Amino acid sequence: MKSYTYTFKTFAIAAIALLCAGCAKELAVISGEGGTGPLVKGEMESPVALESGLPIRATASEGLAPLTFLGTVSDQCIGEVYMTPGAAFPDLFFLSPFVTRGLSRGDMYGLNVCTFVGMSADGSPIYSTPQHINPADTPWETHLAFGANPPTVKVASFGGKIYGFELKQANSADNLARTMKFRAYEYDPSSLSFSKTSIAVTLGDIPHNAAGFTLTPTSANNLTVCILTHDGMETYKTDRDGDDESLYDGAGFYEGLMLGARVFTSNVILSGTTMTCDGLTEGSGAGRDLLLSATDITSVKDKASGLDGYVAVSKLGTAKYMTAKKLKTSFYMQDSEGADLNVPICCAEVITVHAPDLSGNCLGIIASGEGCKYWYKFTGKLDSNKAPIFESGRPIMMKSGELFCGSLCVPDVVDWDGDGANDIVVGNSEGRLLFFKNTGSDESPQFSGTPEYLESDGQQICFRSGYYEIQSPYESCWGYLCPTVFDWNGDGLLDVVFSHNEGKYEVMLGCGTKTEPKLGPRQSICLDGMELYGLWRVRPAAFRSGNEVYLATVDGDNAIHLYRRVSDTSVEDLGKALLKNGRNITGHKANLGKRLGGEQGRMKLEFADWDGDGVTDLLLGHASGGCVPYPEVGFPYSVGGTMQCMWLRNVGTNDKMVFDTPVLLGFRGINYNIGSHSNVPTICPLGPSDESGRPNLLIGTESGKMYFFKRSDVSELTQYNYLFQ
Amino acid sequence: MKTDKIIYLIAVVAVSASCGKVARPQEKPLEEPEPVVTESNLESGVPLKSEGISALNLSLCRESRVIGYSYTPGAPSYDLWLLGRDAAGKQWWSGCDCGVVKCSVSSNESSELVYGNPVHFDGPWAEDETLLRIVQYGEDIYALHFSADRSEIEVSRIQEDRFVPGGYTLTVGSPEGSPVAFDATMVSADVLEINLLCRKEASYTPEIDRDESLYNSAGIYKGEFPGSVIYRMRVSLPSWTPSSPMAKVCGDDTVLAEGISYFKDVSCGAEGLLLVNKFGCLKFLPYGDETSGRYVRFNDGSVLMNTSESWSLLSVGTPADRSLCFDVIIAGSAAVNVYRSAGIKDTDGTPLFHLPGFAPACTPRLYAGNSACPCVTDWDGDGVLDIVEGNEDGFLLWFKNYGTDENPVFKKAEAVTDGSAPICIKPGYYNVGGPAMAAAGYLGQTVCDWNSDGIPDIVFSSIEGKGEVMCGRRTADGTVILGGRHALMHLGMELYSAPRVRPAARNIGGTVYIVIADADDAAHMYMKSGNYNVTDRGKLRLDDGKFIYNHITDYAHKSLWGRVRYAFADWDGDGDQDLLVGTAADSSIPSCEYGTPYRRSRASLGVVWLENTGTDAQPSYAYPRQFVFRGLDFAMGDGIATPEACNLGGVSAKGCNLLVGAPSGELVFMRRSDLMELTLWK
Repeated sequence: MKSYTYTFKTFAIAAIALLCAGCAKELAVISGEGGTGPLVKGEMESPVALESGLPIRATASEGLAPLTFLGTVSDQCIGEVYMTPGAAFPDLFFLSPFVTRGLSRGDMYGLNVCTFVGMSADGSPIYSTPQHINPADTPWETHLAFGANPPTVKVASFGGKIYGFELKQANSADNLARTMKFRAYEYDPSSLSFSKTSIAVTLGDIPHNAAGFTLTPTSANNLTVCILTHDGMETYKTDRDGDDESLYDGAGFYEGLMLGARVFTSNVILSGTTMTCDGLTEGSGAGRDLLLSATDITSVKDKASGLDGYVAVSKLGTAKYMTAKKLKTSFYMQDSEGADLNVPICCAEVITVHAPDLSGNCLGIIASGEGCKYWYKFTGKLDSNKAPIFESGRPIMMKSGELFCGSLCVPDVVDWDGDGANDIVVGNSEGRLLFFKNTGSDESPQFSGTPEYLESDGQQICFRSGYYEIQSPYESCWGYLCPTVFDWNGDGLLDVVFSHNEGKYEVMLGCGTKTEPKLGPRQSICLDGMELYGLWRVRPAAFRSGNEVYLATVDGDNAIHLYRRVSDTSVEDLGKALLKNGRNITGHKANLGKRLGGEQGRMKLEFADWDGDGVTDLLLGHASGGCVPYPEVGFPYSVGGTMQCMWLRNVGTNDKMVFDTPVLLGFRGINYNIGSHSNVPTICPLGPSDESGRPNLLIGTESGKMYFFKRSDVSELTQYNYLFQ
Repeated sequence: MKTDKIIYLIAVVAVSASCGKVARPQEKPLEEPEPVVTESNLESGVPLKSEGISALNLSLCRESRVIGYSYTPGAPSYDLWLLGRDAAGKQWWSGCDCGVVKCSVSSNESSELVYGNPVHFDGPWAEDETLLRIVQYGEDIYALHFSADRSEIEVSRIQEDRFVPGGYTLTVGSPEGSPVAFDATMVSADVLEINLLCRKEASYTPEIDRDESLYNSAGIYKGEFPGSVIYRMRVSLPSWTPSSPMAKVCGDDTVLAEGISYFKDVSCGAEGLLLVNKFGCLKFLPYGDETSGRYVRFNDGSVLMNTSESWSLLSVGTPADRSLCFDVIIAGSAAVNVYRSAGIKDTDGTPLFHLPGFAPACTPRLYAGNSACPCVTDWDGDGVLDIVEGNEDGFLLWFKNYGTDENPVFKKAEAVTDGSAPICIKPGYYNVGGPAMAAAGYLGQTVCDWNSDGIPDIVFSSIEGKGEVMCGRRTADGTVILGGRHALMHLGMELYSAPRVRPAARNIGGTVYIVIADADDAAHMYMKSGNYNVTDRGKLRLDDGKFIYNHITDYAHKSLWGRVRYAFADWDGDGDQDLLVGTAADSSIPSCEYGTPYRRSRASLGVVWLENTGTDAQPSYAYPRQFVFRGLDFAMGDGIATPEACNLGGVSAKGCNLLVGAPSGELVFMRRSDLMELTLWK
């Protein structure tokens, strides 16, 4: 803590100096890339949930929470190795290539290794705080822009050594072939480093991009490398650059192509410092029978059951099995409860966990991606297609963890269960709604890292648009649930007013009791009988003024729009929200990029009396590319690298709202970068009270973490107000 | 059953079809009908009958507009005047109710009010005119209708069974926007008030290519939602002289307003205008404050929403004073709904209404809702075949059979529920037809045992285009209720079909096969694998290897793809499942260039049989054969016809019978012996 205080103070002085120098637009970045930054938590024996400027921590059970890596968004489990003598479960390697650059508290992009600690009572593997592998100690570029292609790497032990195996492809000049090179970089666990030189072999040419690969040792020196590739189809329409056309045609069909998969194998001999192979052999049949948008593959073997094949997964979460002897045919899988086995996370990667006795037998698989990392234990049984039957997935946990909500979390702080202590209810990118119960007090909250998944009408909430998703059906595994928990109908029970990636506005009415809350089925909110529509991934704001309830949304013009509740499912149009200069409040910048539709919306709204003057204001969070209130200038785009949250003061009344231009919010006087996807501010009555009684602030971020800010630490960065003069 | 092969000259047929005439076979192939094995109360070639009172609906009309009411001396209540639209072709049964019709009210044996069969009235207006209103003044009944150029209202007077020009015209002038609807109400003994609803000049329909989506990349509809302008004039009767000229009252932004009516409540005195929009939302504009349209509610406080697409609105006044209204009638794509005033006002002065009832009819026709999609199955497990039927409104109805399979007795339908609420599939804002079709679900379902638990399930699609399933479970009394919707998944992606398709589905020896219309609008087979996963079995093929398409080459917009109803049926009794396919008049099976019905005759029965010459697992189909009834085409209108092979009415040696869901909501029974399959020219 001491070093933390010193480092931060030093920076704060420097940052203020920079600002005073008149460089108002310069980023006040606290920490550069890849470092651990000054605000890194360490393991704590008695974790405290709240610390200003940091994510909320889990406090129950030694802070047991899903395994995460600071500010990363998507983490791929790329290897399992028994490095701890006598361990019943391997240590794990993770690759997290997608992280917003310049996060103020630092991040752990790139490679991390996690040490196995034990199993929880319900069978979830527990790991200690991850150890970050210095990017300089790896041969790969692992800090990438969102959407770029990360290196295709698996870490495994072979022949008494630990290697980072990389599948590297080089495209031919005519782009008709990809030459696959297979490289082995030795890993030194004592220094947490990979060799910069490799043993390599050229496997051969395949016609399409590789998605993933797996290794199966067949003898002391032999490996079977199995490569999962795409089948050469482009998923997106090719003529969409900058146009405003839907990806779907007039009959509702996606106009892109269906990206299938193929499988190739090669026998590799790794002996000492040389590696040879017998070329590549295709094992698969027609591409689109296997998977759509394949992401990874892993080999699974078990002598006792006769299991010998591969599990392949896709971006959509599908898991399929192929026997090693007949790769042409693939089968859907089911879990031990008979449910279709689908990985619940997006962009899934998969590895096999092997038995510690070096038999190569499969203990289970780990699926990872954007969300929790799930452990699927092998039951030892096969189904009629000889596919393995796994138990349903359990999240992999860590000690001293931070509350993890799933990526792009949208939190609300409310007393959900009516016990007098405010809890946290939060939506996430998967489309789920989580409840973190506060078992302490508002002043000193206590949270378990394991949330309850809330239900609607008796079914676990997982709202996804399905086939029609504005950024293609390949993104149908996301839902982007954006809830506002609020008593919409004034019956004393909390309801959930929400939107998501479909851009509609809906409500789930509370139908239980205050202490045993339940949510009814989702119902559309309508205007004149037509579903109230708008742009996607918006958190609507709602508040009550006397007998009236007001709703703020983002309409088809990407402008904030106001409505008045008429009934549970009907509203009256009050028109666009206006600034005091009479202009609308929009959220997009003037020069939108390729994905016109996808870049709009995304605003997260909340009504709150921020300045305590008795009039309800608007809090707003946005993504880094957002530009509020004008396309030509606005926050955060015109400033960059900020908390991406702002306050619009209501200079009118509660019933006739008129807003001032936004004021950017910061932390202790400076910009504070906590992520580039939408940050979601919400009033937080948790933690120590402000002297003036004003509430604290909680911000949901892309990493699935919720950052707590003491009110006194939240700054109104008025130095940027000149932009609107 | 094999018939003589008949060859048609496509050119002759195409010309005949374009003229709306029925193409007749060159030979007369009708065979002597075989005797029925068992006697049945079902009459072949006519809609199924309903016992007891059913909902008033117009035969072969997909759209009913309520245009007026009148009192007949001695009648127990008011008669209704309706305008039926969208019927085409030669009707096999009598009583196509298109045009202006009057339904007279009477009391039945149980002293219940019922409306009789519609009676046609011709008049001096265009065949496709919708701007019509009926007004009663004293004992005279008048029809008010707009001139072709919309600048005048012409007045016609009833004379026996038709309306004749009355010699009066009312100047409308040049209102802002286009007239959409109007109302004419006697607001006092001798004063007629006309309220005119005009739509502002803004295009709801965007200019797009025929393959283009109606929505942009952000999912926002590309067209506009034009507001309305309301005009009013008053006319002195009997001279028909304006006492105040047509003048603007106000503008209104109610989305897609379609109907307007004067309203003054009998008891609470609320006076103003009612507007209904396409989605069934009712708004009230009080006189003196017409700018603030307010939601109308039921007397329980919930907002009043008609359950189907709504096109017209009428307030019914008392016999003595027509300005004192007690009923509001909303009509559109489905039955005519009546909302009775609760006699009290809301806090903002808006009148409140009771929950609706349908206008009762003694018509014997069983009404299933537009685009009826019937499945014949023993739904409640009592050993007798029932009908489960989806419709255009998105509801799933169960017509319990109170008789036997041979002599079925059907009454008014019950809604199939999920245990608490009726199943209702509506697309909402985003659908291929645009937001104006938000209330139209086009539920197309097949009953099959998806999960092999012995309880019927529903495999379905709709205008949303997804293949889905709802699994059934039985309540204590044997009724089936349905669980939540589950999308069928293919490799992790929702199985998507062309819109408005009924998937064929059948559990054959424990394997469930499904047929949908794929992205090429071709029949495509999948096989259930797991709980909700499916495996691709490929496009279905004819014996010559060609695919089986559905749309025409010169389709107007791609949202008109799909609209096809598949059904598995062993039609020829050879032990494997054939395909029965129903479609719309402007569809073309199996080829976009030369299929039927479009290229043969639009005034024909849009149902074909594809004989499976392969196996259930590896089907191959003979060229489609189109059904004719007693040797002649059997037109049901332009919409989607839905076939269902069934054993209702007794099974003959020739095989099972056919039940066809008509676009206008009737369920037409056709005995096997009356059907002939035409082999079409390839």
